[in-house]
Amino acid sequence: MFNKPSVILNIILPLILGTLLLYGYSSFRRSASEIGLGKGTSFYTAVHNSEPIHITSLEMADSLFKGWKKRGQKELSLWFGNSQLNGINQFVEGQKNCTAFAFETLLPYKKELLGVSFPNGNLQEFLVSVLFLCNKFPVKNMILPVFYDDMREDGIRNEVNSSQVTDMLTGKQFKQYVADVPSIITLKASEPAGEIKDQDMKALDQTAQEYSEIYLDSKLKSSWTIWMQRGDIRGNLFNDVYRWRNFLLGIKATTVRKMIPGKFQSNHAALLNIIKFCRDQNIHLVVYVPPIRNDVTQPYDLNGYSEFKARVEKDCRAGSADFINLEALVPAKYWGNKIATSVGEDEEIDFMHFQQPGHKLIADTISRIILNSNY
Amino acid sequence: MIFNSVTFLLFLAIVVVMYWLLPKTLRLWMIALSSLMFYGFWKPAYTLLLIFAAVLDYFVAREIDKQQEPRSRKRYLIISLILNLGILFYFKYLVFFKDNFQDLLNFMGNDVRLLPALKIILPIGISFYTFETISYTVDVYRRHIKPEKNFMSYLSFLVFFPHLIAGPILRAADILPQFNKRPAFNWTYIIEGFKRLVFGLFLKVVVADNISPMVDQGFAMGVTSLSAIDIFTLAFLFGFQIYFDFCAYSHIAIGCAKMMGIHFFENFNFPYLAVSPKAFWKRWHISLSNWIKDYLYIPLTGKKVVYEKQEAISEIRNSNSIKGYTALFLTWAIMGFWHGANWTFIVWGLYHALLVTIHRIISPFTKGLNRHILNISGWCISLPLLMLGWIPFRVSNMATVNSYFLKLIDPSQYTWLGMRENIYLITFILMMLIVLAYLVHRYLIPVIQNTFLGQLTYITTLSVMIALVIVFLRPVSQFIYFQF
Repeated sequence: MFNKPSVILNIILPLILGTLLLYGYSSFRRSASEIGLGKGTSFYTAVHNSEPIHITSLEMADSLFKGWKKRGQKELSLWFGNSQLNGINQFVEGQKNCTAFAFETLLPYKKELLGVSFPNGNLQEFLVSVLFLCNKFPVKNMILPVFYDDMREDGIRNEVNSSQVTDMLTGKQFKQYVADVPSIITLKASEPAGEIKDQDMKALDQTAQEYSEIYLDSKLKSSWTIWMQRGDIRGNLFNDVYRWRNFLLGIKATTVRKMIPGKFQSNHAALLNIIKFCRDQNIHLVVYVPPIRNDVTQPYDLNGYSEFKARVEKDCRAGSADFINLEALVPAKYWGNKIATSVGEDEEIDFMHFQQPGHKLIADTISRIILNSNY
Repeated sequence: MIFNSVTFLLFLAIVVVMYWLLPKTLRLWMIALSSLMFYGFWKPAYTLLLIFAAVLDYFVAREIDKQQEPRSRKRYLIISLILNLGILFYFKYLVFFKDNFQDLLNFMGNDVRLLPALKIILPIGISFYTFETISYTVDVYRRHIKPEKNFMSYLSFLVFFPHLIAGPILRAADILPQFNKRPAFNWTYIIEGFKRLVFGLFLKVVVADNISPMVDQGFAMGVTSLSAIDIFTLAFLFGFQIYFDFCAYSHIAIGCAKMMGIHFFENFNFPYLAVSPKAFWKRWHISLSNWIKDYLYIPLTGKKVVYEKQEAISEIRNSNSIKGYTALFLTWAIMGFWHGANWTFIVWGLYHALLVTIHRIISPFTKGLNRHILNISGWCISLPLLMLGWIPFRVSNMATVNSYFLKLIDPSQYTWLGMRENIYLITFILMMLIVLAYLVHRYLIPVIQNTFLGQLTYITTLSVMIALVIVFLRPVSQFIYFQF
């Protein structure tokens, strides 16, 4: 009846091996920012006197607002972007990103520029952010890049969604700007403030189990490092799957990505709504085509890219927004490589993130536009 | 309590240890009390509903047994049905009927608000335990089983936590004898149960919960952004999500029960490899299919139910009659409605009835064909059609169902793709993995299971699964069938 070897083989040994496997795997794990941006590019969010002047989640909007109020509520510009805004290639300690440079340039003129960026941020997310932040701040100028490859992205992520956001979007005032963007219409409210914030436990919302689970989870986190590192381990596992996919399918940084019609359509609708909203609210909108490496063939369908730029320019003209093309602004020497996103290769070209001098160049351009604006 | 949580694993460990340590006489108390505690971790007050259902049918069944006159027996059965279905109606269907009645009034030009907005929280698992308690009373009425004398046995059967929320739907005839016998401890129970538990958790937290965001994002895209190929892909992807999610629940339920020496029947058997719609329902949610057949379909056909071993049988000859088809469509409509109070679920049921009907009509003409060709072609045709059935199951209203299906009949919608390439790739890989899993299960495991290689493969697989379960175990989402 008591078959000890069988229990050891069938339960105890797999439990031990499974745990050892985790310890082994976690010793090779990379940090979240290294996975997100690739080694070679560092994540940087600007602060001024310990107050954030650049946020990467709308949950941080209150602290952004607090700082702006504290500094005397100067004329405000918001600069949206993806990881190009907060990623510095070949970062050296003490360097700054474009929003920090522009903030410092504008401050003596009693103007402020604040940054808002989401990695691979799509225009639907920017539309939500624009509506949400303009409801909070009296925004004068808005700077918005349109990344051709981010037109492939879709949906509203947790960084952008919250119960505050959904409540606001369902209001009459904003409904007209989101009516033709499906991902926003179907946006579900996150947990109301004060309840579970941890997305990992959302199935337990408003149940008695919520308390026991939070308690046990915190106990495990404090007593077992593997439990604490689970989020990172998951990120690493997904990244490994991604790298293997790229390796097996021969996908590289230079591989041309096809545009996806449905997602393009949703993002384009979002852009038109941003333009419309800014015109209605009398906000000076500057839409720009972001810098890209020009010394190598771009990973775009070049015809599609040209049509895209022309289309955005036309939309801006029609909606009284400014359009500038900054794709050639950052010279080749200010770009760099990053760790390869495929198994078996060390490095690959980074098409998205440039070094600090590149940040300075774009910051100067944007600052000039804001200073010269008589909108 | 949610299976995919630390709380549950701790709870299970305590319950299993105490169950085997306690003397046999106290084990039923242990099962009943721990199961009520399990349920109370969701909403403590709703355990009273469970207890009420148990008390009601325990006494009604005894009364039915006592009565000799058929009319008296029937009267008690009707009392049980009215009360059980009445509770189910109140919690699950009242809002639906109220809203539809209101819509009808509005349609007829009457703008009067008849009833205030109702906010009724659906007790989880109510559809499952209502079916179980009904089947018990009906079985006693049909004299298939004797009523249980020991209330704790009956309560334990009804509230036994592994199956309480989402099945498998148990029959008293299968489970009560096991509770009354209470086998002696054997490590095999723990080992077998542990394997099923790990496998179930793996399917839920590693597979189903990671498919879920892709499905949500796909369905959140407006229908205008999706091509017909995308709709097929989403139907497949949601089909995989719900399969892995529900199959995971069944594995965990079977594993937990096994740890206490209780045997549940299998609820799934590679349903997506079924070669016809009829075969699919013999492989998908088997306990529900059998329940529906025994307690709904056969009675609706007007046949007398005859029990053989544990299953109700009635040769449904002449099922191709008008009465047979009416029973079929009615059964499926009710089965759809059982899943949820929405027209989309009824459409889902009727869609499956239509598939089964078409299969019934066609199958006599295919009898002379080569079996292999028939199976392969049957699978290739059935699978996409079965998967499309998930569209009304997943979307929230009939207008969206229509727009999805209209896309499918437009040839121009087959020329472009609206989702990221990964989605198609993952869907394809999942389908291939299911086929591979079947081949391994059918041909490889029987050959290697008692060899060193088999043991090594088993230990390695289980170790990897345990590691992944530790990393992914989060109550990030409920099991899909909790909502039914």
